[in-house]
Amino acid sequence: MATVTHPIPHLDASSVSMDRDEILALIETEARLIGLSLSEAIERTRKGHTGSGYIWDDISLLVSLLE
Amino acid sequence: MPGLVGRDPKEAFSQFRDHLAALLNKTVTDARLSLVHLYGRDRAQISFRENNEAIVAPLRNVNDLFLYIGQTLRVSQQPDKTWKLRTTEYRYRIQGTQDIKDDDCLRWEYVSREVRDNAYCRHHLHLQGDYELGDRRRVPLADVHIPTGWVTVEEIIRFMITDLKVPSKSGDWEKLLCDSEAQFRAWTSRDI
Repeated sequence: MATVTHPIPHLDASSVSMDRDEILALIETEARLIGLSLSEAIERTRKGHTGSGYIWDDISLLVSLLE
Repeated sequence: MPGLVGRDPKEAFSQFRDHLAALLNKTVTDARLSLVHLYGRDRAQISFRENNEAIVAPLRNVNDLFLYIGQTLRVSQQPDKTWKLRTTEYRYRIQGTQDIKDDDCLRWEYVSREVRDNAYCRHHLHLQGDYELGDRRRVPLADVHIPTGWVTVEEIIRFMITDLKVPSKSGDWEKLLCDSEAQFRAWTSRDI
């Protein structure tokens, strides 16, 4: 999966609607925090091979939005 | 018909977020609960966010406890054309640092079978360390899925205030939690 370059709407508002690419960009931002690419984070989530820490919780929930 | 309903998906999701955010901000944290709605679809996610990244929320007047709350939500259209909300996953985590890799925590989870058909208990708790069960069996508490019932955000707040001694911003936190639980029962028909 290619790197997502779509800008993310800044979450100043408490409720934001995003399209699929924007949510992928959000996941990519969090994946970078744990040293992974977007595709690596999604693949590991789908296989249930997630790591420790709350960022993985959040990535897992965001990925499930897109399934 | 009971349930949290909106005229469109976004309205149903926002009602739920606004309710939980107000409860959390009146009791244990000032962090902002954010809703991310997949545009044009039946699903959304809530968690605490700053600068687009999920955070563990600092708790008011406590330096060594942090809270992660995440839920995925879905809506379905009713015969009267309104949209009814349900939670399909929750993850609650209380940990001692803001470290994104901190795994020394209490962690409650729920995964609906419509999301993933796991063999283990849908509602469960993960702890840390090992438990020696009988003479031979070592139970790794971080890995096993200890069954629970449905755990509400209200119960997590109550646990933090009463057992972990997190000071509540509001003096009438018990009434706030009871009122919120009554709302939850009305929305879900769950007997909590």
